[in-house]
Amino acid sequence: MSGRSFVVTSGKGGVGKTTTTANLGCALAGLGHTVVVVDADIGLRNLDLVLGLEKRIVYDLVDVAEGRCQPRQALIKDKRVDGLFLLPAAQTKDKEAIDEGQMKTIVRWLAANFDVVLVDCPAGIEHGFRNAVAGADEAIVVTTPEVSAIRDADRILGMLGSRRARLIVNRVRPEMVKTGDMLSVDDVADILGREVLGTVPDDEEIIDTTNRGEPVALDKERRLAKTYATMARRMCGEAVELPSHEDGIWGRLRRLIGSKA
Amino acid sequence: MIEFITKFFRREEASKNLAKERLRLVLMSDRVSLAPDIFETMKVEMLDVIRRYLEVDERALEMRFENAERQFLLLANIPVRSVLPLPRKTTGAGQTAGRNTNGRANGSAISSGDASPPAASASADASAPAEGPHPLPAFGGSAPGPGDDLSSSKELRPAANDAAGSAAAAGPHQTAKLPATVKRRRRRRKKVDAPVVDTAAPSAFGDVAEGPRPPGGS
Repeated sequence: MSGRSFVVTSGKGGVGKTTTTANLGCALAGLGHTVVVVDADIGLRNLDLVLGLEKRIVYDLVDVAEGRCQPRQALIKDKRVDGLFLLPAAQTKDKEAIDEGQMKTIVRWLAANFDVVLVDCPAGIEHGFRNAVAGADEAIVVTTPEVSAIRDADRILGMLGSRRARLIVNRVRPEMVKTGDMLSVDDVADILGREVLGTVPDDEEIIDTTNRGEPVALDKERRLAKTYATMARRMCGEAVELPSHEDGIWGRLRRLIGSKA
Repeated sequence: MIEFITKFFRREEASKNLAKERLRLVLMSDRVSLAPDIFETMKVEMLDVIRRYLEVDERALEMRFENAERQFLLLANIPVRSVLPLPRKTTGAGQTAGRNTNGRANGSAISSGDASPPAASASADASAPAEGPHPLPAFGGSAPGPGDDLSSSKELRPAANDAAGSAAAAGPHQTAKLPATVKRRRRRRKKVDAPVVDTAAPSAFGDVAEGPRPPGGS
């Protein structure tokens, strides 16, 4: 087994797991890795939509689990970037259509054939969560600087066992952090006691690009593409510094004063 | 820009600090509740120690975590039935005072005072919280009473039997005037929460005389 498998999870819904998975997948592929993103949210499939691959689904995760197709047949190749594949979730009503053992087998197989496997975990801590986590060696916990998301992240971290888990702090608003009206990334890391893989500022680009089904990480010109690329490098073990999101004249001025003092 | 200036001069506590503090507390309780077996073990171990000194009503025992204003609290409500007799230097009265861990426990100690000490102890009972810790000489090894039996069996269940047994063991000097005394003490304690002054003792005796079973029939 050569590849590494990650589960992207959060506990709370709506913090940006799927968007993060899609963009990390694109960024990793952009670095030249072969990547499979797996949508484990059975019945509420969305990763295909965020990636803009919804029209190309033939087989899904449940088909693979039940042997109706070969794993390779169910994989959808992203034509915009080399090396990115999607294994879509089933849209069946039966959330229990797959079990932990089957999931483990599938993720192991994918990890043996690709460099990186990213499993997009459903919200919650039930069956779907256990499935998504089953085959993953490491975890990426997505949270936002809000009390509810942090609390749920803490619960999830307690359920990940001995897996290495790193944080992505999503939807940070630097100007609010500056005025003390929002928890900073350091605060979140401090409260949860885990290493931060990356932070993503709250940015309109995300909404715009998701509307189009073109993940922001695909377009290297975009502000956020660099952010995701940095995270992707850090996932692969590169010692890349986290970028500062203190943009604007005030942030620059503050840093200037801070560095001189 | 204007917003930045107003924010800068506004001196109310930043909501981020509130969020941090609230999270710190709630996560602590979440994490504790994630390990019920550990909590249970701690409870049993704490009880093992308490049982060396006090006879407590384990069926009515409550122990839980609570988020207070700025603290995360372990609240224990442990109804005390009596203090176990000391192995030496016993004087009889004042031995069986219901000492408690906190004010809350005080109330329930009384309501479960079925195996109560004799009248004379009422005063000691009432003034105990003011006196501070009861001067308990070190027990030479193991305490008499049910504590040791229970600690070996790591279970809270057998409280009933043992409590009854130790009640008999604890008060060989008790007289038969119990019912009246108990009643009197219950009434008194409901009214007064603060430590009662020493006059409680004579009045308790007086009460016994008026009770349903007057001693000596006077």
